[in-house]
Amino acid sequence: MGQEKNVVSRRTFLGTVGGLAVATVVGWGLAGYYASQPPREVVRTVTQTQTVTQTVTQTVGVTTTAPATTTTLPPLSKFVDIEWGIWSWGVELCNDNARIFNQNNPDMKLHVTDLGANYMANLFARYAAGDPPDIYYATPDIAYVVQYRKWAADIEDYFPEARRYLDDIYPGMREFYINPFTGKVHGLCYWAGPYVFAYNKRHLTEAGIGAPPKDYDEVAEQAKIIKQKGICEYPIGALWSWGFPALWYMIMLGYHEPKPGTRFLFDEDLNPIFDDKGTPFFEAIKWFLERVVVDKTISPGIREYDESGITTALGSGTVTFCPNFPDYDIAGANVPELKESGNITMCLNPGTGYAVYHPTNYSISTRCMEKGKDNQIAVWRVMQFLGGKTTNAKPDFEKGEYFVCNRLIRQYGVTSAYRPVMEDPTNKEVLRKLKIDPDLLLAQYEKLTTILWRDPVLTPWWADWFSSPSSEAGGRVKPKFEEFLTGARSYSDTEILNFLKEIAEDWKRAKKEAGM
Amino acid sequence: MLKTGREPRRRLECKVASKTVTLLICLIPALTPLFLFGFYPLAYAFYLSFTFYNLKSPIEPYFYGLGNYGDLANDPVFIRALQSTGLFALITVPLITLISLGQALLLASQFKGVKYLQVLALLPWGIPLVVSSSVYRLFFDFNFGLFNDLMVKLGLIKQYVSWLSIPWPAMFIVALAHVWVNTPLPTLLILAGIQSIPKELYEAAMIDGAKTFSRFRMVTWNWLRPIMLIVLVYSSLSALWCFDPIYVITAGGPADFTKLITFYTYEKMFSYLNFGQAGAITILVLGLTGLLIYAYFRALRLGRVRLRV
Repeated sequence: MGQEKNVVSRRTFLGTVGGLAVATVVGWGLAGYYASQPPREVVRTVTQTQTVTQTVTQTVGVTTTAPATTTTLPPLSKFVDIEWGIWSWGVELCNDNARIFNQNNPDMKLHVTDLGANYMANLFARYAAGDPPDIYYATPDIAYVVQYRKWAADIEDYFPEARRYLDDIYPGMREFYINPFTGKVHGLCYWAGPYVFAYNKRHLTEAGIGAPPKDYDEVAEQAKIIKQKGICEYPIGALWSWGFPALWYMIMLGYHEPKPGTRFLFDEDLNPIFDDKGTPFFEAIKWFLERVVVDKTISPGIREYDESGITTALGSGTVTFCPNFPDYDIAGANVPELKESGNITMCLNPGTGYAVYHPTNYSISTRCMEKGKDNQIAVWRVMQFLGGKTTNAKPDFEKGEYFVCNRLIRQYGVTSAYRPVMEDPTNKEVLRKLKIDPDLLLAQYEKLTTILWRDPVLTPWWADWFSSPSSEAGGRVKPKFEEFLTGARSYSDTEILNFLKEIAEDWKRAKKEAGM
Repeated sequence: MLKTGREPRRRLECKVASKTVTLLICLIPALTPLFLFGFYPLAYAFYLSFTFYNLKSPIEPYFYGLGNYGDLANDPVFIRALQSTGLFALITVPLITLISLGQALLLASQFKGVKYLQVLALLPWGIPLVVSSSVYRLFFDFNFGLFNDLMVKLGLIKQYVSWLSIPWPAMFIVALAHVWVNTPLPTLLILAGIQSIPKELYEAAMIDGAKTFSRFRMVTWNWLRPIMLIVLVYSSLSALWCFDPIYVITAGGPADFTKLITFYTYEKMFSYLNFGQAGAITILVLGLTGLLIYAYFRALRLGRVRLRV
């Protein structure tokens, strides 16, 4: 017995188990290393980027009416299951939409998968695992990556009639629905809406101001008057978190009318063109910092405004103006619980009147299209139900209605890229009830530009650099800019220039790391 | 003779082997989750740290050697995150240790209502971190925060201040939120330690003429030293792992001042989708944690009570 005890000592046992564990880890690591070969393959090159940009330029202003003939979708030869990936908003409505679709399409099934709040990471993780959803939402930065990596298919490649939907999309928004790499329509609209210049009309009246500002110099003047009269301490606010890039474009657009080929930040080869005195970006930053440091009409605490924060601030009267306010949030700022309910409205972006917008679309995974003709037909049916025209949940471009888009605007005031949806009298009435003036909003729809997303194109590192419209975190420019707000950087032309040169260098480094 | 000599030895070896196999089989239920959810992700993070793996990048994953570690060393935001984490630990570790010691001494005293106080002291522990952090964010909100209101009413400030947009106040606010939630456990540990001190030691000290402070220093403190070291380990590690208050209250701002290493890792992983660099940071933090634990346990061995490791 004693001998046995000595042989199976704890030390021996732990040594054996530990050795096995170490051997497993080392073996696995080596296997992983060899599995990762062959290394380093740059998917795209500079030449390709130039081609891409040319494609974009060509697609701008292109006649959108599809040359394609109307095709009737053939019946499915087998039962198909389509997975629809969504983020955690309106989950019940999505499930209800899927139920309606399934009731009317018994030869297939649409099922909803909530990819959660961390949507982009979860979606890309599904791609990395080789199991992406068939159809899913995409914001511009997501759309760009899945198009760039060829993870998503262009619906027009399979169903050329998809291009006809461009006719219904507002001209300023059309370019987003065209894949910048191929010039083809990649997907239909989920929701889209302009960033609007929102303001508090009661504050203006109380300050004796008759009309909203006509340009950004007047914004500064009116803010000063409102502050001096003690109506509002910091009259200018902004959506900081995911609205950071849009803020700068709204100010730049206020001063510079976008024309074909207008570039604010980068040239055709994606080289920075903003890091000099007198560039639109330089001037926009200067305008902003003057309001923070000299006029004190912008609070250094502006960085705390996320979407709900700025909505509440406008609705409670702690700010008067917000240049980059999501259109649908006007309803949120006018809810009866807030002090300024009924006083928050919008005007055209001061200056040129042009504004940028936030679009989303339905993307289709390449993997889904590779499954065969039945899946292609099924997913096109789904896409048209969710973002196109249907009758009884069946595609009907000629006589159908934008069923899901109408549901979104009627239930939640969520706007669309489609003119028929936005100009529908019922929908306009819904907007009116939500205290969003439909005429003002539609006037802004007529003056939109895609420059925020095509300056000249997004890149895989754009969101990491500038901040992502899909995530509250991230973006290296934003914290660097906040150094002006904390006082770590002083306000001067030289410091602004230094800041621009630093972020330009950062951009160049990211471009180099991406092999472009 | 030779044959008969080998036979018992072989039988013994067989017996040992079968016993080892039995032991291993018995351990499978315990080891499986440990390997699956503990060692495997760790090993995978280790592997990733040597890989260029950025889901957004046009470059396919490839073996990158020490490239991720090199990139991190040259990343000023990473250096800033390390500094902020160190600063955060310097603020929170002494605060947690001292506050929990004070609380425990108070709760160990005999007075009316002490039972209720004990419950109250443990209450922050039961509140989800996201909830408590949201409370702090609202409390210090620069438009509607109660703190600003109180300060104005007391005449200490003239107008509302955006505390969360000023570096040092922002750091102290997240530290406060962290300390509030992380004090109850050390308090409980120290309280248990105090309650286990034999009364005879105090009696002997009193007979020797020791005053209150001397009794605390010679009896209470000496008895509590090993527990205090455990509290130090806990509070240091919790400072290294702090995430929720940063995510909810400041999102790493202003100007990255409160971007702790955990939030930086989160950004690299879930916002930038740079799995390689996130893996490298994880391994570095793991190494740092290991060093810290080793240092503390070395220190523990010097104490009166030794922990076996």
